[in-house]
Amino acid sequence: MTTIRTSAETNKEERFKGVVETLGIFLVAVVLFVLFSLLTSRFSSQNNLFNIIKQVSIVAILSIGMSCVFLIGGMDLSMGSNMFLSAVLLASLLEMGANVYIAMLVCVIACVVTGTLNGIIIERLHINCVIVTLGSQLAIRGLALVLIERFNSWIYVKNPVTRYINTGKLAFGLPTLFFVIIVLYTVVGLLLYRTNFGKQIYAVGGNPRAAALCGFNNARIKTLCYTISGIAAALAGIIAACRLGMVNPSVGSGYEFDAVTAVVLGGMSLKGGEGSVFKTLIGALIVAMISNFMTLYGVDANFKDCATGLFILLAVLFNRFTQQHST
Amino acid sequence: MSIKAKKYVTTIIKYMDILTILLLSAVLVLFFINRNPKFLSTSNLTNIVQQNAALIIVSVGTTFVVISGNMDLSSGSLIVLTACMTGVVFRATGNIWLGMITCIGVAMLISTMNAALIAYGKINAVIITLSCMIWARGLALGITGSKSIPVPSTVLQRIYQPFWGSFFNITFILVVLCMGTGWFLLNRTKFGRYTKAIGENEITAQLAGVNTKLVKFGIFAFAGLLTGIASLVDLSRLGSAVAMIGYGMEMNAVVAVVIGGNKLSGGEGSFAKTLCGLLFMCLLSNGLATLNLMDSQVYLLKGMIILIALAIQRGSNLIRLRWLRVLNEKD
Repeated sequence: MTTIRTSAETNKEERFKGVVETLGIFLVAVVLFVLFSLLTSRFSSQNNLFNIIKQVSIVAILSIGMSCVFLIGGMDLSMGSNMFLSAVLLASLLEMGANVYIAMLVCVIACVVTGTLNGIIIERLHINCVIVTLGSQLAIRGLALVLIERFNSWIYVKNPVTRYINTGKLAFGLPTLFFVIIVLYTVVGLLLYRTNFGKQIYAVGGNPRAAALCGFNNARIKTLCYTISGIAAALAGIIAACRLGMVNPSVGSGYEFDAVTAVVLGGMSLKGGEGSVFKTLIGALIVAMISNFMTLYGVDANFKDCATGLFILLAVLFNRFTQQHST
Repeated sequence: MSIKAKKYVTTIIKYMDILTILLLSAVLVLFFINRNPKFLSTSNLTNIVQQNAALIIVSVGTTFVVISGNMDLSSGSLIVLTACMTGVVFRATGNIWLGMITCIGVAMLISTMNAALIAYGKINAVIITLSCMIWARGLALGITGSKSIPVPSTVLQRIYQPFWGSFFNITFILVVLCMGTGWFLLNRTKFGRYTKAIGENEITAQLAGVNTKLVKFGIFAFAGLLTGIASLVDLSRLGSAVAMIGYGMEMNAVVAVVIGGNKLSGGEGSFAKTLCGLLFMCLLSNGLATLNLMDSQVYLLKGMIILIALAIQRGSNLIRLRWLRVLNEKD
């Protein structure tokens, strides 16, 4: 948590610093956008911009969960698998003729369960988050693969609602997914900055001992963050299934790294307790723009992975040398 | 309680983490031997050691990293990258020695780069090695186009071919050598002492005059060197640089080290614990492979068993600490 403000002046100063930091990452986004537009003419076409919005939606929603987990000083590497589980559940339930809204609810509930289980194992048993989520990544992906193999590993998602989520335009000619992102980020922003729970997250992440002495139930708050990460993964999985129109075993693999990149680019530190979820959104936008640009430029998928990894490295270095704290 | 009985109880409690993992391994053996009577045959046990030679070598480095309170997620990807580089160099020049030098050299280069960023750049090891895990695998698959490169070299094959009986080959010697070096470094040198000190409390170690940055650098560089050796071992076993080489190695190594009872927060640990953890992981992966399951079921079972074993190990550790406290109070 930020230090106690003693006067209006320091308040102003801190705000100014915050604005500068936000502007830094925003400037990076703008520069990249201009650069990519100059390099490929198709990049800034209206069609492609809508495409980027759709692409960013998955990373942005995953990043919400990853931000909450980063804020408490953890990491959730099972998000990609959770996302895959949710997509498989949605597709298989639709295939079996379930109501689409009930199917989505089931997806969210399933991922709430897996996310909470992660949280309980990590926080109640005090086992390192990286190792637990690596293990559950394997288990959850296995579970979803067992499910999808009953449908010969390939399920088409055909439903008016899912098609609307992919191609629908809600207002002003903007895609529905654009509004979904805005609504979700507003909700999470209100949760983090306008409720007690949000303040508790920052407090627990910033100084767990102090928070415990203040009487916070650290384990419960941290577990809830992993639950939020599960919900975010479920929503991302639903959107991925809608966007692709089918689900196969490669859905969601590696997406947790995109989320990590977005969060790190947004300036959050692994120590927890610092950072803003809105900067994460800009980070997600950058990740999506780069991914989209590389697809347009015809870069091999493996080299795209390579670039993702190098980009995390660059983001960390960027953070390290522009901000006071170390990542 | 008589003094003798108390001595026994104290010893049992002291080694309870190792006993727990051995007990879990015994349960695994009982389960697998029920399904497959040949599970404990000499040939299968030999097979387990030979197949997991690379994992054992990597785990030596990971033990150091974990004891120093860090984490290394890059080993699996480094193995695939160095193996592919070796394949490419061998295909281009036909000289295996050049390939082997490339293998070790690239592993050392990348790991020292990571080590410098971690130690001197003061960046969290998890995020640095995570990024390395992603980009190294991507680069490896990119330069080979996801195709396997055969490395038909008699020199390289000799690492795997047994020269005495059916068991003794250079792989086995390398495994013993790496383990021995690791044990010596950890228990008989300043480097090992400093590693434990850093894991316990880095700032205190620094104040006590330890060059913590250099030691940290050394730990990650050592882990990188071992990864290079492991890559050669795996390459000679498989005979070609395939895309799946070293897949999940980093996770297996970290889990083996932790499941054996070494603390991930650092400060304490031993090679006995790592060996017991390795025994569990090797039995698990070999046993699951002999059950003729589908990939998906293997993932599910492996993930769940690992999580359960971690939880049991953690629980036993909590009980151990409580009993130790009780025993100390009675004194």
